[in-house]
Amino acid sequence: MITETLKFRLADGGEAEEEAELEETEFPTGEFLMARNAVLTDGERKLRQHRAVSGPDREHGYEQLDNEILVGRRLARAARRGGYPPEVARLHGDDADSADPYALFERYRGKPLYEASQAMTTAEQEEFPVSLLRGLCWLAAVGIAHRGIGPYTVWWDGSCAQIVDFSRCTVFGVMRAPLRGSAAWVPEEQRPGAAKGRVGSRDDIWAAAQLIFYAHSQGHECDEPDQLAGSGLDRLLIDALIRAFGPLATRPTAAELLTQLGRSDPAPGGFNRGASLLGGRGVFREARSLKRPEAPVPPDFNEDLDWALTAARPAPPPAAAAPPLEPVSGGLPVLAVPPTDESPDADDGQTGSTWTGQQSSQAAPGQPEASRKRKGLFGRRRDNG
Amino acid sequence: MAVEILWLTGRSYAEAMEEAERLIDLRTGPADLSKLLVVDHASLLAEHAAVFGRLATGRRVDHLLCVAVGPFPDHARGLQLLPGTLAGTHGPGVLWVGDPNGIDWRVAPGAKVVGRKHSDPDGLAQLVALLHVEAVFDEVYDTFEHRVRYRVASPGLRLAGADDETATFKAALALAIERITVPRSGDDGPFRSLLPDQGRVSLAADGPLASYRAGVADAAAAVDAKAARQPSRLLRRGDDGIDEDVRAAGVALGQLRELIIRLFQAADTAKKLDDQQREALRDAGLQLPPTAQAEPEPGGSPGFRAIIDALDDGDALPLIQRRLTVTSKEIKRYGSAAYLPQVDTGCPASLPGSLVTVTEVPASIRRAGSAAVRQALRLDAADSAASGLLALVVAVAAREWVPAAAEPDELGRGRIAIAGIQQALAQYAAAAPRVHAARLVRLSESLLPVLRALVRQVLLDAYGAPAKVGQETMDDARKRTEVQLTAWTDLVQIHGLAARPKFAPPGIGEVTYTVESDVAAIRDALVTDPRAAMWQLCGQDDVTVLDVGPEPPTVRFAPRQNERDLVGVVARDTVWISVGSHAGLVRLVSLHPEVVTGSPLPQEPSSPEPE
Repeated sequence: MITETLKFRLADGGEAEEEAELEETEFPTGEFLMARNAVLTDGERKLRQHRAVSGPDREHGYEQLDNEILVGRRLARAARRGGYPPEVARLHGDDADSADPYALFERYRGKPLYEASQAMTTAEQEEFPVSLLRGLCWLAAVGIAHRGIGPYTVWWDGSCAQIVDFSRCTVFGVMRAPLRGSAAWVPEEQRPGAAKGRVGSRDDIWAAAQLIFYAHSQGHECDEPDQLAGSGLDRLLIDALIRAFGPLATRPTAAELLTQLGRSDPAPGGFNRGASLLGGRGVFREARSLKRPEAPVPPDFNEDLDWALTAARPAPPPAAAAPPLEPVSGGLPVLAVPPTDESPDADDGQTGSTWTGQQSSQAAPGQPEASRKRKGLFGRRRDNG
Repeated sequence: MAVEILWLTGRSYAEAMEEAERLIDLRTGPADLSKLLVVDHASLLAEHAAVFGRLATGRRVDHLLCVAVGPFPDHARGLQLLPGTLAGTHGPGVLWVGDPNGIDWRVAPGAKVVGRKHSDPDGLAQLVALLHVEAVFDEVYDTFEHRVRYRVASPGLRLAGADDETATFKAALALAIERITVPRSGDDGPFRSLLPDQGRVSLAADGPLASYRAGVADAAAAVDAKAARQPSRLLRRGDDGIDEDVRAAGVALGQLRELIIRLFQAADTAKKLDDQQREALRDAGLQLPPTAQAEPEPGGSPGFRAIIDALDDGDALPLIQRRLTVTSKEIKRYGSAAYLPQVDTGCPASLPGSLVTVTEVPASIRRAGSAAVRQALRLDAADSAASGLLALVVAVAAREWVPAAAEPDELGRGRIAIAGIQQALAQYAAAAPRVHAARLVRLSESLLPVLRALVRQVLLDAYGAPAKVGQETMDDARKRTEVQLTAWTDLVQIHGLAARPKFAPPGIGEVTYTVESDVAAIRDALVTDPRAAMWQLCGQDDVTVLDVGPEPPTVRFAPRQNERDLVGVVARDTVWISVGSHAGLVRLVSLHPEVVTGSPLPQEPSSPEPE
């Protein structure tokens, strides 16, 4: 154990400085991140510290760490009024702008589904879909697509699912980047060579449907729609899954699936995705131009704002007006201006390069391949990455 | 000739002397006392010195060996270790057993000491049993005579089977584990004893369901009967009244259909029926078996019985898991409302409607006969639909309303507990030593029933105290299995391969595997390096007084029955014994000279006198 004093920004605002005991052993989490367990000594709060991997992939690690921090912050803000949803991992705090940035998450609950699926009772199998969809509703409520839903990124504690690992997340509205990995878990519109359109609230639904089948069948993947009929799933759920496995145009959102199952969307509406987002983005651009006036704005700097603006008050589209800037160089998190409590969506606007369009893969290195079969979903080959 | 044994342990001087006199006296002692093994506490040797003197001068004993047990508490630097009657070149050979449990130890400077659990029989008993074999006694005596300095040494044992018994057990158990955990093909269908049984559902003859069904059938029969009354088997206008029969059939079918729809809606639950629902079904004429008043004992639950029967029938655990999964699907309750679409499929609302509106039978149809009338007016379809509806309601009743033999959640817990058991078994098997498999097959087969009993016991515990969460069930089953495996292994280590744990079923045959008869094991023991790690019968601190310099002399022995297999492979001086099944070697590690003589300067012992 290493004892260190950690100074970090709390996920829901404010600064903290606490002594922590950190385990020396690190383990991979996500593709380019390492984690180790930590305990804050004063409150006995059990956490896990995520940092970028060392070596040549460190810059990818920084990008993924940004994703984790920013999703964590959005969720923390969205949950301010009610309780924090147990269905998504909870960011406790972060130190995003030091030389060795890190995120502090509360320990995940239960076990990843690739283990937990073997120990789920029938009652748990029946509860899992609703719990997973509730978590996806929360992500959708803050405009986030997970892009890595699967047996390693969804945990189960016996009564509740928990979506973890936000390292591959992206915001609604950006152009879809191809997603490598088993085709069983990647829908057509996200596969390499076929990726098209913009990320939206239906992007995680295919993988979620696959995971629901996976949990129900104790670790098997759905290869054919016919498997659903003989699976022992409830008719209502089968109908929902058939829609989820359908083409993007008719694929339902998590909230729609929940409604179909007779449940309601748990996430609060009205998460401010518009005005303050634009304000924050403006603050960021201004800070960047002061620091590096010659740097042009990257072409995709504001592409995510399409989604933000459709859900917000009408506002002048800033993307077209944005002056060209250099892409942010270096691997450090791009929180050039610390967000303030006065600007709830400040981080959204200050991280123009965070939502990278890098091709990412579903299974992290070192993790066993979730797929047990070689045949592709509904007859397609899976090794398309 | 035989080797006599005199136990002086715990005896006072007087008692010891009395026993020696009794032995020497020809009237009370054995006829032949030429070879005598005396076992005494090391701490009593000084007190019993005169007893040894008496034995030596009694003109009865030619060869005397002494086993001295325990520490020498009175020994101090500068003092001779043994009393005069035991010391020196004329004294008996003394095998000093500092600790009967012994240690695992290699003869080398600074070699690590590994502790051993108490075993039964312990090292002292094993040594005495060996020395009781005359050929071994002779060879050990001869070795003391010519190769052991100061004729006192610490014995070390390497016994074929004895040292490796636990390892052998573990390897054999690993094989047995493989038998019940490796997926093999077999009947992976559901457990039939747990499936819904339509035979448990019946219809009251005078109930509405049966009556409505009869109404449809009666109408069809009436048409046939009216046709039969006509010589030409043709129906005629006016006197037939078949339109009324058809309408009656339509009414009965409509009532049947509506009643079933109402039942499916009223008794729509995936749980147990409440009183109101049962009453509605009863009123409709549906007879269901009564609900069990009390929960069965865990061991009597049909789900548990199905698992255990499959296990006893030789099903591997993964196969049982698959069958549990399939069975769970088959017995899953969806609620009767889920079958409403099938009512429409079997009997669309339009069918009874089309019958009740019949007012007149066209002449063309009437002339075609009763069969044509029934078909044209959809009486056949109505009859078939009524049959289908009744079959549907009986099937739904069996699956959704009859108290189930097992619930999917219960079977799920069984599957999860088996997963936990398999985890522990796999872990045990992975850690088991690698031993040539062919030698262990018989032993592993004899362990299989006990292993199955272990699985049964853990499952019974899981059924008896079901956990709330599946993961707890799995963890609990894994831990219980680990505990049972450890307890069983410890039991074997203490009592040998024949030991049976508490959960072993009665009437299990004896272990059919004899380690001692195994040629390979004997050969391994006989070719053991004299310095190698083996069972040294001394205490942890005693090794400091043992002389690790010279290679310890050894006595090797094996059953004569194995001589043909082993000759040429093992040392020429191996003693082939015709009694018992002992095999292995005894090494004799000398003590440092200054410890034995009490002199700081090493003294060369004088060579023994020629006989």
